[in-house]
Amino acid sequence: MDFDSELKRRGFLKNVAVATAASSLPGTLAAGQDSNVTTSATTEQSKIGVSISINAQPRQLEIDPRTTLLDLLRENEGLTGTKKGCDHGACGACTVHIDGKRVLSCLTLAATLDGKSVTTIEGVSSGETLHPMQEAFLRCDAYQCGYCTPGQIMSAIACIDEGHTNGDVEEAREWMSGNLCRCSAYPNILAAVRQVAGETPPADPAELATVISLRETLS
Amino acid sequence: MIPFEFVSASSLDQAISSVDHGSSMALAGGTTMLDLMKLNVLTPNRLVHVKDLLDPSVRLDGETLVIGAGCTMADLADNANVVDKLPALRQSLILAASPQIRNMATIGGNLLQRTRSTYFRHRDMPDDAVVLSDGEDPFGTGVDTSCLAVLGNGGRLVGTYPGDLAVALVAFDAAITLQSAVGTRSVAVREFYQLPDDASQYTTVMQPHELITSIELPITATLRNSFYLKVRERSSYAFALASAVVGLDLDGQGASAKITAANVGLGGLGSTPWHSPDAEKALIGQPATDATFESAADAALAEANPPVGLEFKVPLAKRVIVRALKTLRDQGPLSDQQLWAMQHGRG
Repeated sequence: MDFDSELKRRGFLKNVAVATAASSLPGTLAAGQDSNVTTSATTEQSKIGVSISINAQPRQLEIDPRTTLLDLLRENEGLTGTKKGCDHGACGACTVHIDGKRVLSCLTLAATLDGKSVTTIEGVSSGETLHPMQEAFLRCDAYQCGYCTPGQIMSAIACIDEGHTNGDVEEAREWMSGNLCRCSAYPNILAAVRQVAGETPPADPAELATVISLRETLS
Repeated sequence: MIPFEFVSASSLDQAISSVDHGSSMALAGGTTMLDLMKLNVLTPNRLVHVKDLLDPSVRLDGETLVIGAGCTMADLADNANVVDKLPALRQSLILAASPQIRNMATIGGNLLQRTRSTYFRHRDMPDDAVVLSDGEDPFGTGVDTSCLAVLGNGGRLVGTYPGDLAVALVAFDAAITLQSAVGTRSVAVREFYQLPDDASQYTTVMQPHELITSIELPITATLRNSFYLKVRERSSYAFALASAVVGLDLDGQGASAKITAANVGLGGLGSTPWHSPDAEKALIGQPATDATFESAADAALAEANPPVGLEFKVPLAKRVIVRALKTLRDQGPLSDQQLWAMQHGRG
């Protein structure tokens, strides 16, 4: 067998599968769109009624059962602060709080949330007053492209509530490890978390850096 | 995701009667289920939400820890009995997945997670797919084969069992309670997972219309003095390349101590969560020397049959076992702080 070509075919099909899943947004009927998949499930989706508190606002919603909390927030509620990174629980960009606990909204079906309270990045500030963690991320320049930042901040707030930031620096690093940053802003993210936890004084980490000139060192 | 009917079952009995683990599947924490449904690997017609019906409690019944199937990984890890008395159990939980996932995933679902071998969880690969190795790299070059089993593979290419908790459960001989319409039955975790004789990943003895309701873990001297060492490609939030759970009951101190009881399990290597009675046999009755530990590691990997490209896993696994045993002998059970320092390169 020609394994290389087989491999490419599989890789291609997998990408198609991911694209198909991502296009199955609420309100669209995906049944029959993907000819590779057959199902005896009803093609006419019955909507499910749920009542969810989103950022302290009670919401009565009629949703397709396939709707993830992430898609509900972004597509139905217009709360686009919560980001879709991998959509498979591997990156943490979609982190929100449900009843005060940090979870992944991409792997949570909205239909399971009847009676629950959801807090997103839009719900952590008080009007124009930023949450201390948002202030710390600004102060520490704890991002580069900013895509993972809402998830990082939601995780960081929970991390402090859980009491996982008061030990050695490795402890905070470990308990923030569910949020990937492909710009690798980790040192400054960690600085922001430690500052809000009260482990280090509030300061821009860049101010604390010492620049050593090679010329001075050699002379 | 293909359309499905979503049902919130009103009672556990109703859930049991409607879940067949095929066209009608149970949804608890959803961390594996939703992932695989988005990939169309799992395409149930009906999803039965059972999380609120499963027992979320953890309690001590004499010298047995009884874990409700609905308890989350985070809640089990933070249970006072687990924090105080059961180091390897806590470590197998807090070294797994991420804090967010541990807040969602239930213990029942955790035990049933599928292999992470992307090849065998691809939707074009049927459950019973068999790929025979003919000595050439069967996947072509550049493909990550690190999730293929080197133990319990029957000479074929099969996926590893990916979890951490189940490795501790097989090592310390826990039991799973399964409930059906006719009552409950108890199955040793060591018997629960079946080698994939003609399939590409493990199967279990769980039947249609049965649900996991609890796990019973006996608290032994070896479990109280235990350690879970996990080696991965990055320091956190990754599946094990190789992991070892070890428990020792020692009479004496240091290398001259006599090993009176031992438990050994391996993760990231077997097609099922791997219990090694051969390693335990090599330890029990012997002095806790480095040489004893090395012979136990050799015994644990004696049957290893690595596919092409995975030969590195055999010495890696041996070193993980030896390091885990030495660490336990020399330092005793590790605190979380010691664990994080080790994981992040300080210890």
